[in-house]
Amino acid sequence: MELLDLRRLSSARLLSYSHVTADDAVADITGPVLIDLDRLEGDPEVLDDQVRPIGLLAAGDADSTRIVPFLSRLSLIAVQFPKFSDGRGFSLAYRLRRDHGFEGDIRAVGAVLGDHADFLLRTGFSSVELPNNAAVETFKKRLDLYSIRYQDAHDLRPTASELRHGQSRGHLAS
Amino acid sequence: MYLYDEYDKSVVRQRIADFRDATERRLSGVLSEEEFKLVRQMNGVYLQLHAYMLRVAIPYGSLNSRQLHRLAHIARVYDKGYGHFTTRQNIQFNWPQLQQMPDILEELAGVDMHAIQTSGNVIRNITADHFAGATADEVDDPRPIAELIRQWSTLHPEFSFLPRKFKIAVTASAKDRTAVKFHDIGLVLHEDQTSGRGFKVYVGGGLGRTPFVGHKIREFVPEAQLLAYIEAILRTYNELGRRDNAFKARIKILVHEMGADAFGELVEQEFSRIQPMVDDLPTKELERIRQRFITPDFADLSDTDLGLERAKAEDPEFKRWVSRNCSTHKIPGYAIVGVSLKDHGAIPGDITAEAMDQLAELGKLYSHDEIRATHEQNLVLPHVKKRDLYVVWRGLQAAGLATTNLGQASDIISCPGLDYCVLANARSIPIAQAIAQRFADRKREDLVGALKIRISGCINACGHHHAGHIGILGVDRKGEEMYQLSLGGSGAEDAAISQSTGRGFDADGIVDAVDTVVGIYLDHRHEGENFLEAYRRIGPQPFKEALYGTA
Amino acid sequence: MSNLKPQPSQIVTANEIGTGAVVFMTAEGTWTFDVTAACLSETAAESEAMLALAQTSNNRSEVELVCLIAAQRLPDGRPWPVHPREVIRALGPTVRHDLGYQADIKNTSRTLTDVSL
Repeated sequence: MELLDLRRLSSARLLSYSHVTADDAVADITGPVLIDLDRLEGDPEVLDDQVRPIGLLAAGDADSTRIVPFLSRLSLIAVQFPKFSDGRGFSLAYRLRRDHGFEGDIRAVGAVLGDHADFLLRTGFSSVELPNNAAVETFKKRLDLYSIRYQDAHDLRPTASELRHGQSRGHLAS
Repeated sequence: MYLYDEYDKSVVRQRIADFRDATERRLSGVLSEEEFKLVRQMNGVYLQLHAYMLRVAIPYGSLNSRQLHRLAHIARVYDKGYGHFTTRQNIQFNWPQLQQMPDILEELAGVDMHAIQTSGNVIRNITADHFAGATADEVDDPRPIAELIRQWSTLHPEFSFLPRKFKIAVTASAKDRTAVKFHDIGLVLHEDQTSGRGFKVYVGGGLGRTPFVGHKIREFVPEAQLLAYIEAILRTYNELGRRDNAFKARIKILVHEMGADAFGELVEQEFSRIQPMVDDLPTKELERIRQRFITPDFADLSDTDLGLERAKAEDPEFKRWVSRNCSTHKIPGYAIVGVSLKDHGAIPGDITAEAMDQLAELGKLYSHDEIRATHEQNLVLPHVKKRDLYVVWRGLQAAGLATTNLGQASDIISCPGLDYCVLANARSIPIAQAIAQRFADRKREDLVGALKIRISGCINACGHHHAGHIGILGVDRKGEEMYQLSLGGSGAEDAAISQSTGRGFDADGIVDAVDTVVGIYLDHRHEGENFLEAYRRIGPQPFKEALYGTA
Repeated sequence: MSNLKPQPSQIVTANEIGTGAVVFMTAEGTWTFDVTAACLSETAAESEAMLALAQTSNNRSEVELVCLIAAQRLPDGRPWPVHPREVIRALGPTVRHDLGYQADIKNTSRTLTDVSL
């Protein structure tokens, strides 16, 4: 698996997380861990470990309000795309940024395609997990394919109407 | 007509470059069938029964003569000399080759057209009243709003992988010509003394396997906040719409299962989160779009034209065409000309490249360079001077486009059916042709009056059979094409879903059955009562008895 | 879409990638526009083997939507589709005899009108 930072177009500053399954003892794993939402809800003391980075693995259809209690302790939320045609993850990321102000890494994992690249960046994803280097190259290329965007979204690149009216937005996070 | 600016042109050009790359990778075997399917669907390319099909978007049904000429050119050079107008103001080409598809899209881009989002689980072409900007009965031209929504919905980052396709219609008239209540979102512009201009919002309407009339979830959304409100609906649908079963994935099922009130409540909650972020950009943008719509430079004319009156008196054929195919224009001395693509026995919605060219010339000379496509698979010259009507009629006659039957029995909506479509279970075109031939006797057709017959070749209901006064649904019964009859539907402001009469008929039987039903109407109708009114008054029983006997 | 399991008396059909045209697989594993030149299976095992052969062509990106459809043997020994849908696919639209494969086969003895739909 390869990681890509959607904003810096590299993998340099990204952390790899070890996925903790339901039966694993977190203490046995070193380094950053990725924990399912169900496990986290049943076993919140995992978060007491103040040192290591902790990530949450959320299904694309997860209710963002379930994630909220843990947000301040999470450095990553990995949003799972079960099928490439399932676009719920886009709305989840958008909500995490807009409604809950999450500023950590939001990573797309699972069935992610090059066609998603630009949309991921614009809905608030900051990184993506891809199967191989070829997919990474496709992604980089596709992030630059469209110079014009019609919608106000979670990236700072100007929209068509901002360019038309010489206006820019101040209210969006980077 | 909205004129593209450099940004609109860039989006379309970049989309084509993207698609050309994908097509080359598919043809050289790099992309698999499945991977490419997603890409081609997003660009309006289907693989149909005999060949690929390209569906070209005609936003809100508006075309200028250059665009129509270009469509004719595409039909001639890349297809087999004709195109097919659909029930959503689009045009389809039935025989293009995949390797030429990027070139066809370039041809379209050259006249500010595209095929983006005419397929797939995305927000589809935005449809609007085909009389927009011409009819006296509208609050304002709804097309600038439709264009605003078109841009907003194009390559939307959050709503390009929806549970299912999503259709939006806009009208500004109390007289609905868009089937607004049979859309995922239906918008009706209206003006309010105190609040100003805004939209009634209907959601969850639709035809298909489970037809529903849309529910009004809001009486008034201010114009400036419309995009925010639509965004709230789409986000709610994207999160909660069913993805476990494609047949239950449309928003109408979500709205039905949770109830329109509960759905509306969720939308309001989401809207209240978005609303504070709405700035003045959408308003400025709408104003810009309005300015980029060319408003025709109408002449100052008397509403009565003596030449027209004389021609009507001298030529009864012309008089009949004027009274049947022409409608009242908002400007004195002008008329809206309806162009039928339903000559008795013709394929509904089909038009040759030659006829497209001829109509484009008529539009350029006599209709302020505008032509419209209707969801009833006909065309419109929206701004014709009354004094030019006779010349236009002769021009339409020369093009084979002067059939006098709009709104009548032979003006049938029909999907392509099993003759072209991979999804169809039965043929629909031959049934439409046979029924239209039954009404080729104009005395009888005039006697019957206003009648909307709609035919679909499968349960997906592209032929709007649920919204027909008389609806016909083709089914496959053990390898035999059979047809179910339903009555009493309406796609207008009094929207209603037609009800099945009972057991179905074979291909010959269904044509006789329509004849029988029309006969019952003629027997029972009161003075001035059309088919739908009579049906609503007397109910289905007399029709059932005539069809199946008194059991 | 017809997506039958392997059974006796079937032929393999697909669409050509470049044109989308309807094609049928011959006994040699090549593709033809002429349904009567298709290879008709006698057994389910034969159908399965035909489908596997066709898939290799699909993998080479020559055709797509490969599937088996039911066919019968005409008195002259040649195959013909059972379902009206497949007859229409093989010949072209019944409302436009000037289009599709039917337009290219002026000399064939069989047209839509003499094979009941």
